[in-house]
Amino acid sequence: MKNKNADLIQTWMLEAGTDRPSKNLKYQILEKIENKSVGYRPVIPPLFWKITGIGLLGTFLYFLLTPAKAISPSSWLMKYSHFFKIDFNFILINNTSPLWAYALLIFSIYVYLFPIVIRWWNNRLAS
Amino acid sequence: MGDDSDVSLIKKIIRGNNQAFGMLIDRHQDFVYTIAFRILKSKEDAEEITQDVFLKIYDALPTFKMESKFTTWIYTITYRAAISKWRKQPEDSISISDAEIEYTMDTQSLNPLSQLEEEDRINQIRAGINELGSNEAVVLSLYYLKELKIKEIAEITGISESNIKVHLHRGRKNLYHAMQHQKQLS
Repeated sequence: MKNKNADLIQTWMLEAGTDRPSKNLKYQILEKIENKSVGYRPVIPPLFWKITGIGLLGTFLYFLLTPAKAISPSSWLMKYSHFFKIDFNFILINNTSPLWAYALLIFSIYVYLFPIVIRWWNNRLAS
Repeated sequence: MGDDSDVSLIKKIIRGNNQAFGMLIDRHQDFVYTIAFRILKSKEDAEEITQDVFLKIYDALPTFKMESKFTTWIYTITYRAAISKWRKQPEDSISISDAEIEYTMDTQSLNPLSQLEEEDRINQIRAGINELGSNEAVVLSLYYLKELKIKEIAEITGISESNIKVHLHRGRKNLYHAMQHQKQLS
C-alpha cells in the first residue's frame, strides 16, 4: 500500500511538473544586466598592460635615442640577433635602418603574442 | 550552441557573452521559479526571487567553482533567498489564488473536453502541492522532478538528511490527503 501511494505521489508530481514564470521575465533580467555596469575584474590585469606599454615604449625609445654606430656587433642586441641568424634581405628593410627593422621585429612579436597570452589568461580564469 | 553544458555557458558569460546568459536563464528559470513559488505561494514574489537569483549569480559567476554542480549552486541560492523572504512575511499574508496556480499546458493533441479535464486535474494536483508546507513542497519537487538524492537535497536546503526524510514522508502523506480532500469536494 505504501509503495502504491509513493508511486501515486510520483505520478502526481510529474504531472504537475514545474511552474512557469511570465514570458518576459528573461528579458527583464537581461535588460537589468545590460543596464548594469558589471563589476567583473578585468580579464587582463592592469599590471600586464602597464608592463607591456612600458616595454614597447622603452624599446622604441632605445632605438630612437641610441645612435646606430653605438650599437656595436658586441652589443646584446646584435649578439641576440646573431643567435637567431637573422638576416634581413628584404629590399624594404635593406634600404631602412637595421634598428628600425629590429624595432619592427620586436613589435611584431608583441602583436603575435597578445592573442595567445589573452587566450591563455582567459582559460586560466575560467578553469 | 544548443548542446552547451552549464560550465561551457558560464565560461562564455565570464568572457562577456550575454546571449549565453540568456540560454542559462532559459535552461533554469522554470525550476528556480518553481522552488520560489512552492515556498512563497505567490507569483509576484516568486518572480521577484527568480530575478534576484539570476542577477546574483551573474555577479557571482567568476567565483563559481567549475568542478562543482551548477544546479546545486543555483538551487541553494534560490532556496535561501525564498526562505529568507518567506520568514519576513506575516503568516496570514501567505495565500494563493486559483489564478496563480492555473496551469497552461500543451494540450493541442487532446480534444477540448479531454483538454479541460486534464487541465482541471493538473490544477487540482497543483492546488494540493500548494497546500503543503514550504519545505515539504520543495523537498518533493527536488526529489521527484529533479531526481536528486537525499544527500543533495540536504546540501541545497541546509536541512539534515534525517529531517529531509521526515519532510519527504510528511509531504507524501499530506499531498495524498490533500488530493483525497479535493476529490471529495469535486
